[in-house]
Amino acid sequence: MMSISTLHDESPIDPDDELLVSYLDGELSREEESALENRLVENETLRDRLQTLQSGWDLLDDLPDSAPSLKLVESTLELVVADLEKSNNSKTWTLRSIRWPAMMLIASLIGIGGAYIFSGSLKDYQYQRELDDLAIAENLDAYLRGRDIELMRLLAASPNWTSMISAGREIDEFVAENANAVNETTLSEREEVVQQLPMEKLRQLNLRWDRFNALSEEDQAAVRRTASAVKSQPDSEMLLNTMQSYAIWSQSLTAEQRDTIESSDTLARRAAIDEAIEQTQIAISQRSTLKLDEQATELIYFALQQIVRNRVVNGQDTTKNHLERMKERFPDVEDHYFGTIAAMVFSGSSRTGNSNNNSSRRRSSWFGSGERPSPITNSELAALRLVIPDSTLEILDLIAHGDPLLETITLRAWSEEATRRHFPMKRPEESTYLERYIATPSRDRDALDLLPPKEILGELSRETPFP
Amino acid sequence: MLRVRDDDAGAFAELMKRYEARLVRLMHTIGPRRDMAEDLAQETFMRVFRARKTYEAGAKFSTWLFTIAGNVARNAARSLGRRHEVSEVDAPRLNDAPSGPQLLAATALDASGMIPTRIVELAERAEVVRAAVEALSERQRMALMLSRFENMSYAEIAETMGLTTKAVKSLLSRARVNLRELLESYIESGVIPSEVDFSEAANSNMDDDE
Repeated sequence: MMSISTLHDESPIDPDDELLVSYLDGELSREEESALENRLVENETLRDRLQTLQSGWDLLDDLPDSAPSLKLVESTLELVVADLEKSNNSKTWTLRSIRWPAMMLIASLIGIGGAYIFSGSLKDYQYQRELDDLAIAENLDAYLRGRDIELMRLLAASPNWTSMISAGREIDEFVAENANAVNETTLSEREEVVQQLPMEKLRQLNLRWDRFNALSEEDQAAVRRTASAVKSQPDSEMLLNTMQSYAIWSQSLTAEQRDTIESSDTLARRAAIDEAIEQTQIAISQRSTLKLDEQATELIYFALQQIVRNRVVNGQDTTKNHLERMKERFPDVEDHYFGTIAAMVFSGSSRTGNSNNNSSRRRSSWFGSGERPSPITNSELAALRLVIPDSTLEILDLIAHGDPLLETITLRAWSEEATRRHFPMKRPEESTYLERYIATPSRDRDALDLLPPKEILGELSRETPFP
Repeated sequence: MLRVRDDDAGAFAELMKRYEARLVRLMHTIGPRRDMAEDLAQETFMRVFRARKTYEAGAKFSTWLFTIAGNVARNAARSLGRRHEVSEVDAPRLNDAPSGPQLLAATALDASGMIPTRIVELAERAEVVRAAVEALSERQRMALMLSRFENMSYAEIAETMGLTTKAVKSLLSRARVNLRELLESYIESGVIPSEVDFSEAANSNMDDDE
């Protein structure tokens, strides 16, 4: 086996590599940069080195996403509270703000109804005011992040925004959780509504309440002003909806994008909104594979097989030759078609989402060598519409909302997903003992469990255990 | 952060929301095990909170946060190493299940009888890239993440990692050159060659980190 030797932290490094990396990282002085650029113009080898250094770096875009669980902040806050109480250091915290989560936690642990504690304590202090604030706290993120009413109106009026939100909701995004349970009730109903909330909702409301109370007096007043301003608008419901969606959406943006969108520079703001919406729409297209059911992926895969057959019939050499090679390598018909479909589908894969053009170009070249079938074309992708079931077509139309680019991106993602789901299963002889054990029918597994370990392995090694 | 220092719980929640995804991503890469990333992120936040009174106005919060994160990840690697009776402190994650560099190499090999390259061709490039990153030393990984995903300058990375700017420059150069070497054949052909053993690279870096 060939091994790759890598540079250790103390290994000497080629000065040119170091220079090129500093150049790529923008860490050279103006003079050093000019000198290097002059060398790059003249020296092709150096240019190649620069490109390969960058291409490995670009691949980092493909590191899997690390979406933290929704509970991370919540559970850390609980630990913070426990920490504070343990160290008996609560005097400088707003008493209410730290006691709530702890009380709720204890209440849920010992089975006391959290609602009782919550509503009971509400009566303690400034009752009416707190009930009022509770509705504000329920939408705290919306009021904090979406406080610029003009921006919210601008977004709500944008067809791209509306399309993005409806597409996002199709894949369960931009749904503000538990945002209107209290807000939509009158003050007199509120206490009763709170008491009847399920534990999970109550807990979430409690956290928001805690966060609201932890704000400074000044910030609380500002949030109240925003809430009151929204309430007095004729389009208050639409505004609050937009604010809720914006609060969720803005978390997926970079700090720079958020700053520009929330800035007063109208032109820059519009450009940043358009760019961020486009990015999100592409991400939604790619994530929409989650909504594909088995029937849809089966039909899409069937259509991909037809596309390969058509290419062969029409004498497209690269596809034909690739399929021939696959036939030599894999005797099974399903397998060799799978190989060619995978090469065709993944050849054209280029995520436009979060990467720069250089890396997209680089990616598309991975599968694009002369020996592979040409990537699936846009017209071939468009033909997939003919086989997709109506219910899935509705999802496609909602996501792409008539934009041909988004439709192509979505169909490409779906083709990749259909192919992935058709990855041939391991043959029995390749499976591990554990996999064979799991695959054993339960009645036979009971018999296996009663055997001595050696005999279990013996049984699992047979082609058919318990024939 | 100044509001957190002054015991503002809401501000701390805001701060966590702003940084949680970035911190978890960092921990996925520099922590000793991927399934520990969230726990390590939480531990980092707890340390930030406990140390809030020592935060100085004017200091860049992200630099402070990622310095603490680096310490938390290193401590976790140490205690995990002790538990596994492995003496290497900064070793790349060879004990990792289920998909460290060893597994990647093994997968390519296992498959070589029947379907040599197809497994990787099937959009497993994320795994390939991750395996390559895991083959880097812990310090190279940390510098790489701060540079690539936090857009930190060499000076900021140096401050975060407690190194000189020159050391960071060398570290990042080695990281880029290593990635080029590890991923070269994949970049050229889209195929991870079964004859390449990423774990060898990881082992050599493990020796380096000792």
